[in-house]
Amino acid sequence: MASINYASKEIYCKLVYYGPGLCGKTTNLQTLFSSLDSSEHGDMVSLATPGERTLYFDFLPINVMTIGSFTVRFALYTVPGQTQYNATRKLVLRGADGIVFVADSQWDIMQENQDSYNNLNLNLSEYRLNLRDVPHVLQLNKRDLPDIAPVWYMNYLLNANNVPAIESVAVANQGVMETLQTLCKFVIRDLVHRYNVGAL
Amino acid sequence: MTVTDDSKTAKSSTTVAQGIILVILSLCAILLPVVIRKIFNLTDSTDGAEFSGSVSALLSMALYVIEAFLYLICGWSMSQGKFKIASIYVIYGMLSRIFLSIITALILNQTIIDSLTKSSSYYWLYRIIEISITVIILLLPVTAIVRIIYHTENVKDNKNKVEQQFSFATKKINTDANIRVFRPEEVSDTSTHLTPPEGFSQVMPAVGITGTISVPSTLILEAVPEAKDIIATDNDLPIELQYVIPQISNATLWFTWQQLFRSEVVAAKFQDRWVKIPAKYYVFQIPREYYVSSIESPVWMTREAVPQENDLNIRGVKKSEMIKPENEI
Repeated sequence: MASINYASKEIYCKLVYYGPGLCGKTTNLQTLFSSLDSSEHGDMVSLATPGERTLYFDFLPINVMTIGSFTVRFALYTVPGQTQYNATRKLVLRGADGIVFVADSQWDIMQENQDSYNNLNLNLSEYRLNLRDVPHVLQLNKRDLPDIAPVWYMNYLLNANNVPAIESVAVANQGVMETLQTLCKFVIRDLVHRYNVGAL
Repeated sequence: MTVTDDSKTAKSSTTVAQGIILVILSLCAILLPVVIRKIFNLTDSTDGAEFSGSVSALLSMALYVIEAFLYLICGWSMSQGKFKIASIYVIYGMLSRIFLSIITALILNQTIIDSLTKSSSYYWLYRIIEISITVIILLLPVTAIVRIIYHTENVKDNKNKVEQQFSFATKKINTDANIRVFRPEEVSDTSTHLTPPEGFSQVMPAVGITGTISVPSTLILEAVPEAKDIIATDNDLPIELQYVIPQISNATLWFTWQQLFRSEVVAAKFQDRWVKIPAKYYVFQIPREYYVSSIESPVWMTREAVPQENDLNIRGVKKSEMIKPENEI
């Protein structure tokens, strides 16, 4: 849930990158960190194992726009994708205003994608939320690799709510900005609608 | 873990030596309070009049129980090969005894030595607890030793390695020594990866669907390698669509052997074996109409666009280019 700071005229939104292990969630944030103007983002915090697997979460604050007299700041988080860190995933997911589900396009990872998608639904349900009610987009990552599933099939498997699906190659900065931009639009629309931000 | 015959002697002598050390350490841990008691000329005499029904009696009983627990944890730690932790609990046990003596001395206005030589009216209960714990402490490492000597330790629980049992055991496999370590056999996919996910129930065939898809026979042989004499490895095998369609919303299809070969090859020992078919082997063979879903977009996607979102440019937006605060929605 977005938090509004009337004193500093800021609105904070939490966006969470969710997906199976090694699908490219952290790469998304790293790409954003290196691509965005340094004045538009804060330091990226990453708690990872020596093998560069996300241990707790990655965090990247960015400033995107102003609405009315308020500056909208997005805090981007990733969850650890490994199965055993579900408690952490649930914790990071709490209060998310928007979700990017990052799917690995490789055929061999399709089951992991689906398990992670189901896990996302389950974890949201524990907060009495339905994924359908939370602004989210599907990012089909690693489209440059051989042996990948077609977009229509991944949509069938992982896009139960018929939300935008964006093809990406996170390591090459393809589709990363587009993903974030698409989600931000939906989050802001939802924010404006729910909180009547323009009248603040 | 098993050991070759020619190395049994060396292995046994090592484990017996380790066992003896373990027992000695256990006895030391158990006997420490006894030794202390002897140093202070403790007797087994009770003095019920002083303790009976008093707060000090309850306090001393509680502390005795705590001390007993500490020794119990000590024994357990020793059985796990955690000698440092065990020694810490011995010290805690001793400290609790001294603390008890000091408290008792203060309450009863005695010297600490006097206090140490007294025992509460609950002494018999403490004695029972102490004896029980002594037996348990002794039994725990003995059990471990017996398991090691008879080489059943790692067969029962592969996590309990010798290195974990004995901290002073070598952490590396000494390849020069006449000891060979046989690791457990690689677990085949059959038992680990080829079982349906939790909650999966065997699908019923869909009505009114005809046709088949074909999958490489190697996939089936991967799950049931014993069937290599029955199935030709160079041919694709047909699977009836009526069993496939009900499962296509999953990324993996699961079939029992019986479902795959209902009428032809039904070997009794294979009937309940599961066969996994990953999506890439069947997706393109199924008519696309089965993948069509007509779900409407969520409400938040239908919300009106916000004027400022046109200025939303995450590709390196500059603050100077952002919408001025005066421009309200």
